Amino acid sequence: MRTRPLSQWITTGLLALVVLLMLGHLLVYINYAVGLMRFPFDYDQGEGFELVDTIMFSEGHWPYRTNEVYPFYASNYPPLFHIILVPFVWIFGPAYWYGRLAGFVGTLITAAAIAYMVYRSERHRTAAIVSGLAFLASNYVYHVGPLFRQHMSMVMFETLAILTLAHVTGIENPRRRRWTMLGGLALLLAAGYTKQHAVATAAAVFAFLFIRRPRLSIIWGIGFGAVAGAIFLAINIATHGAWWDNIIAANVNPYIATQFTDLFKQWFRLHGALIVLAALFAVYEFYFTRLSLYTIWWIFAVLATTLAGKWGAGDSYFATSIAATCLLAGLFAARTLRGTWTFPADHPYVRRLPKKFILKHRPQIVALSGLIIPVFYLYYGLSVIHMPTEGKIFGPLSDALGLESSYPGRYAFYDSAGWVQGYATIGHVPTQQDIDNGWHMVDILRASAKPAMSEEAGFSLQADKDVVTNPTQLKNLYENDLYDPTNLIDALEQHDFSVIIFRAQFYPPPVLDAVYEAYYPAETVRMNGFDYEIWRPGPSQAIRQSVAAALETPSSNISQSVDFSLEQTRRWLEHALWYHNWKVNTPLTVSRDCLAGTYQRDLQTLTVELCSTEEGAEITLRE
Amino acid sequence: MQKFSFTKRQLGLLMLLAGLLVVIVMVAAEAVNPAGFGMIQKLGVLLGVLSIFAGLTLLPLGSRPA
Repeated sequence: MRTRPLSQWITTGLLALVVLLMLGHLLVYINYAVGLMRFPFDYDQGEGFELVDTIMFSEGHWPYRTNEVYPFYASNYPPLFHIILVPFVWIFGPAYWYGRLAGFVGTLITAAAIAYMVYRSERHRTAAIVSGLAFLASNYVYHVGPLFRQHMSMVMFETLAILTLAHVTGIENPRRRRWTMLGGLALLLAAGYTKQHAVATAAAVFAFLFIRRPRLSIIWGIGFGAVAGAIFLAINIATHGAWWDNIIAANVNPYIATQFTDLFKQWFRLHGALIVLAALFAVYEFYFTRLSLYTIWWIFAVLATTLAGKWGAGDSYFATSIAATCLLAGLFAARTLRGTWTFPADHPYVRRLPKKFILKHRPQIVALSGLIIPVFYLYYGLSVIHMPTEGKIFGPLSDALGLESSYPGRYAFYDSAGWVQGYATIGHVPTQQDIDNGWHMVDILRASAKPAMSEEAGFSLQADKDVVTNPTQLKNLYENDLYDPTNLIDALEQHDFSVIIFRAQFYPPPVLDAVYEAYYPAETVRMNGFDYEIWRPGPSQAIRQSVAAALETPSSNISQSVDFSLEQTRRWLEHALWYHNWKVNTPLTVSRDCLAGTYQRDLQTLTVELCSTEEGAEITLRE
Repeated sequence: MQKFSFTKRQLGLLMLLAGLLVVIVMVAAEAVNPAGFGMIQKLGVLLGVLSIFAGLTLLPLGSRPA
């Protein structure tokens, strides 16, 4: 008789521990979100371009345009997230904080929706709260949530659509059912026009409707397709086809199978405890009761993670599956904790169960299940641990827990996820030094009247310059034979840009080649653990061509005056030698008021001399 | 009038057929264009087989609502 109260007491204690652990994760998340909202530059590559899209919409322009003319920019994302943020641009001007706030609030709404769905179905408050918090505790949700990116807003709309439509087939009142369908499908449409990845949730909804009410599914499916298609067509006409090129064609990227499998293994390692519970719930519904929209959503969301293998995709592609997993695991947990599982007695598979044993030991089974559930959540909470390893609170806390930075030398952040291809190496809170270094790069841009070509938009936006190029978009289009880089290459050769700022060099190869030829790496600035290379214009095209010819076929002596300082000339020439495949034999060192060194290529040796002159510098190349 | 909805058996049949179709398409793609059985084809066959298996296990559940 004592077993039951004691087990309940232990269960309550364990659940309290789970809630505390999840609240700890929430505090880490809030700290991160606030830290990012205070950071005035791109934190994750691509955020600035989402801000540019928002600014363009605020000015009444489409961001879907040709990439072949200045400023060589177009967006590859649907418009809704940016349109929602337009009033913020009108009121506050261009800034990152409101986009990050929107992403963060979106995750909170998603968590609340998960909690509400669990509570609505099972009436278990603790399980509901834990389910919502479990979503926010995920490493993936943590680092993507408070970014100026549209992905988590898509997940929010998807989750709200599921919440709205989950019981729609059971509504008898036709008017109420119609309005519920309209509301749910509007949310689904919003998800799709926030990010294309929502197509899996749309498929789940119509699969669910098809199983329950095929006629309803077909009629509403035609209507939904017509509205979504009409919007698509209207935007495509309004943008003269640029919408299709940038949203659909540019997203046909190479598939990296190992990226998907590695991310999938990582996702399972981190969320495995909840995935097991979710899978058990899905199996139960599959065999012993009706399939709910929740289970079908989970199946489709997990299947859609295969898209994470696309080049440019990553861990954020698992966010919907995490939301669905938290929901199903929560339903399983709540039902287990309440002991309300039911199995139809006449079910062919139930008949094979050892019913006598189960009935005899039911109290012990229920008590044991009650203990197991919090253990699963505790295991999950410990699997996904991530936190800063510096600061007044997190420094001593991480020391006490024995956690060290997962990125030593780059930033102070522990992440249990480790790293695989496609996993974003972010999560730390930017420091004042990061902010100062960002402003230093803005000052570099401000020093010239010309625009800069930067791989991130933030520096140009803060310097009040045009944002030139959306690099990955150009690369995607180029690889799909949809982008001719001639105009951009001409602009680079003519030094139309004051500087080039590289972070990952995700440009089409011919564009990179033009930069290598016309600019040289002058400075490296570290921000957020990443090295930003500042490339400055090299000498005039005539001088570059003359030196390039000498470096390609070094048949005789050549002397060339350059209107650069000796130091600038040295940096540029060293880069030009590297570009033409010359390797250092003896590095450039001071010799008789000049710099001299030798370089090697195959069997050729080149003697290089640099001397300071009144006009600048003199280069002498001797084979 | 009772509204039509799928039973477990019908859903099982549907999954069985869908799984078979996926497997056939994956194998046929290799037969038509023998470029090596790639990751997507392997994944397709795996999902197809899973669908067939799940469909088969649903068949004994008869007219229970899916």
